[in-house]
Amino acid sequence: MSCDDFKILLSAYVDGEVDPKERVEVESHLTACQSCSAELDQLYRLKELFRYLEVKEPALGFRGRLSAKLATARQDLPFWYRIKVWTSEQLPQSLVYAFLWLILIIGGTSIFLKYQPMKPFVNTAQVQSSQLEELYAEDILFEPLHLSNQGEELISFNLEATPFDDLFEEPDSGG
Amino acid sequence: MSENLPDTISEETIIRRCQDGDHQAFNLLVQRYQKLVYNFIYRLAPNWRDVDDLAQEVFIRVYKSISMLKEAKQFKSWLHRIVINLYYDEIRKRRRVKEVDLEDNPKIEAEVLHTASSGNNPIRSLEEKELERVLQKAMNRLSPDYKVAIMLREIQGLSYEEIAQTLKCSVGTVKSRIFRARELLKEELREYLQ
Ligand SMILES: [Zn+2]
Repeated sequence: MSCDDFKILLSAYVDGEVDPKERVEVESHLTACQSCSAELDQLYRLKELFRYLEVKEPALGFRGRLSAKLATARQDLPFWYRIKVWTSEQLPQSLVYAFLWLILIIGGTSIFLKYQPMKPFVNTAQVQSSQLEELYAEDILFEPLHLSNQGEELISFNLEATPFDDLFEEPDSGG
Repeated sequence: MSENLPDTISEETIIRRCQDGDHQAFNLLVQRYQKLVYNFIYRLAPNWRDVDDLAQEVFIRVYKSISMLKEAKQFKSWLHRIVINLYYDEIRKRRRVKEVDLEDNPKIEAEVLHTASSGNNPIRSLEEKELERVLQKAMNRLSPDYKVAIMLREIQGLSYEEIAQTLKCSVGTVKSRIFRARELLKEELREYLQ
């Protein structure tokens, strides 16, 4: 490696950003090269200059002025985010979460109850449709409806036209 | 009406609460970072008269987009990226309207440098103040890319990895920008480095 290659490494070296292998290379080069050693001294001195930069602080009232601007900025936020902000301002978070859970449970339950009667009906229909296919094969049942020639239509026609439960009961199980 | 937040609250918790729209948490976030943001903008552009407004604009941008921050751990890089984006936006804007460049007017420069309130060290030697002035002046001459890279390192104290994350570039690029910035600064400050 030439001295120029080492110079990039030296800059990383003063920042402690070299890997162990590079560190060994740099340090062994430094013992042999005066020019790079002088370079390193300069880098450390330059680094030290930054300590003379005072940390500047915003003038008093920074947050007060900011909060006025934030109030305006809030108007640009999407609707859902404004609701979120509003609830977090007005209500304790735990209450908000409890309320959301309640809505979720009530909503879920009502949806479940609404669609519940469909369940056995659909299942039975599936079972029945496979049975129907068997029956078609044997050409025994539903003779008059054969005109439609379409298994699916036939089934949906039957499902819509008849009350749910009693239609698909197994002949034997009803007793 | 969220309960009082203790000062010892972790940054991750603060950020999560900010993402939930908690105002008090956001206030705490501003309190923790206002100096870091203000000082960084000031050092990037000491001659701009509206550093205060720009620092506030940073926090408005943070407020509007913090819900999109995925990893609370990356907040610092993300915050710095917002500052830097704002800085580049402003450079473009000010070039368009051809704002007078104060850089070469020492009288105005000195005046502007005075308007920002200093840290809590009233007794500083003239020599220290002079060193601060010449270093700032040398940095003002760097191109924005070099200036940002060296300042993220030396003023904001970020690691190369964090700088790469902030600037969305490789660690190699960070390394070379910092090296170039230092070469230029050494050239400018030759007499102070003997
Ligand atoms: Zn050498």
